[in-house]
Amino acid sequence: MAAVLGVSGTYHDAAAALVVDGVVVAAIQEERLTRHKNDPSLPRHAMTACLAHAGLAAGALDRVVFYEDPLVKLERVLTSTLGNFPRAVRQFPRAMANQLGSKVWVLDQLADLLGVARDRVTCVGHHESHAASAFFVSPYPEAAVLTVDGVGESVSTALWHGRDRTLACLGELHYPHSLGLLYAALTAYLGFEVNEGEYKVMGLAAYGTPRFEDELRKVIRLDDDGGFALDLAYFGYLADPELGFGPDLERLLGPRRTAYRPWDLAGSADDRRYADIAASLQRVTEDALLALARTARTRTGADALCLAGGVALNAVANARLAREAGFARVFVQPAAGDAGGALGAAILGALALGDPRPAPLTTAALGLPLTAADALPLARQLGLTVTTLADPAAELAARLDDGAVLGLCAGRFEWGPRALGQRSILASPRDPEVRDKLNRVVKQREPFRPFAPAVLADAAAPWFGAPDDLTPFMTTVRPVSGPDLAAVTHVDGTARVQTVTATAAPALHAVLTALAAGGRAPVVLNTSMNGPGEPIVARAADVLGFLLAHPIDGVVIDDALITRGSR
Amino acid sequence: MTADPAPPSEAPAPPAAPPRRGLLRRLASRAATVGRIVLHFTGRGRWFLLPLVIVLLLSGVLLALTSGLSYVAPFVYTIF
Repeated sequence: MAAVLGVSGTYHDAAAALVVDGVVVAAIQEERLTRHKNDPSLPRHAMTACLAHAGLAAGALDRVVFYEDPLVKLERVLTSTLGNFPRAVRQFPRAMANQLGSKVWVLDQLADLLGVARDRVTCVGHHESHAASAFFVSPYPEAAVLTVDGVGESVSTALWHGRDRTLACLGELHYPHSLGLLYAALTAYLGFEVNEGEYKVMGLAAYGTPRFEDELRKVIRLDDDGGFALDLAYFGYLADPELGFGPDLERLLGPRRTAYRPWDLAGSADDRRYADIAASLQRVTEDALLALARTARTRTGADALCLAGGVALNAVANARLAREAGFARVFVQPAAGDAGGALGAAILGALALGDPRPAPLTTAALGLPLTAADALPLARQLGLTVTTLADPAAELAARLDDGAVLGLCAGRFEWGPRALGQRSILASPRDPEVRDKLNRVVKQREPFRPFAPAVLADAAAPWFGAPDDLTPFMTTVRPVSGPDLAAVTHVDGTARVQTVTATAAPALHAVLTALAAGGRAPVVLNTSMNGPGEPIVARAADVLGFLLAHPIDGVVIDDALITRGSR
Repeated sequence: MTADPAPPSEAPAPPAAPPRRGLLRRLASRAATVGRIVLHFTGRGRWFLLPLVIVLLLSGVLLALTSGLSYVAPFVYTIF
């Protein structure tokens, strides 16, 4: 029986996860505590918080496991940079300074930070961490596992066969050929921020038609067996870390979109062209993933598929895989990106020490808790109005039905990029004006960005079909039936639905149950409680700061409704 | 599935600050890392890169001692 801390970081989405005696005790992204979006630093706050939550001292850790091998990465960076000489000459000093000035010492730094013996600090492969983070908390005894991201040490895509406590690697594709980097390069081309704007590209794709598919198939050659290769002439990342694409891509698709220019999909032919490019990219990415998944099915014979890596956060692609790849079941862990690597690393360390495989993940609430008692003193200090609700769920349901936009904070915050009822903003799913108001004045984001619905799992079928292993964590999309959910229905008639159970999100489940009890549809609009460029709120001060800064009608924490009211 | 051994509280008391590892221990662990780098490159047939790595490591140590770089660019993970 062991206590193992998994750690990811040093590029983006730093996180820590703690597994004690085979149980996932806590998993926290650094950004939630430092309030720095996609915080890349070694996650000292998250590590401390995980240990504090478990009541453990760092000295009690049996192992600390970093989510990738810094030496293999050094080798890849060195060989790749030298291989692209002289084009990469400008980035060589920077690359080596980053690697040798900081990255290769990361295990030493972890030992120093935690005060543990250096021989207790180990590392595992980047894609192995991803695969472990998905398979070992999935409900499957056996599964094919696909890990797809920008690049790990040198691998960009890997196929695994998971059985009970083991993961066997069946094949790999290597940098610079990468679906994640393709998507990232086009994200940059479309004027969005890389590692942040990929969701926007996915949302934008629904507004376009994939008329640039042929052009993009020149950029990426897809093989029937799931292999693919990028035509590197179109990309710049081998020699320039500032921009992922090269001039050839602009010659192929037209000039890049200027970043930060407001979108006008109705009036601008250029913007419609960019939407078509996004749709084409989405189609090609889906086709590549589908070929990989079919190969995974053939090679493993498994009925279930687990996905991990940043590309697995593409909910639209996940939905297509679930429909067309031939698997009976598909699972994506909620923190499928690099943060999730911390969880996989911790589990791999625990398994290596003989601990049992963790139970299937039934909730993403793995962060720090928040109670009304934590928030009320500060709320009163700030002059906010606090009302005690006799029946919080029923009150919240009634107010939402009346058109209010309310925050719901309950228990431990979520693991991963989605608010799943622990730090959520809720609103009526019916009124598109609510969606537009949220986009414009609360979230301050592009008008084409959709909002997701949360629905009572037992009652989801009439609107979204039956729940599956993807729907609890909002990692898929479903067609929406019925005309009365306009605020959560994307332009293509789908929604990134979350099916809610009492185990996964008890407070949100109670609100949905109260809606159903009142004869209303047990569906709400559920979006994360964060402003533009901010991480989702975590602690009381973040929640109250959000309430003060954004025009929502109030926040409910336990039985306390906090409003700006009569300040 | 989550074990919740600690009672809910928004701000759990932070554990005592970890004991700081002594300078000699830290130097020893970094020396061991240099050894691992050498073994890594020789073990994978990349011995011809070693002279370059060693020269760069010296620069790296200097950078580490002077707090290193904080440069971040969108595609910097191609060099990270």
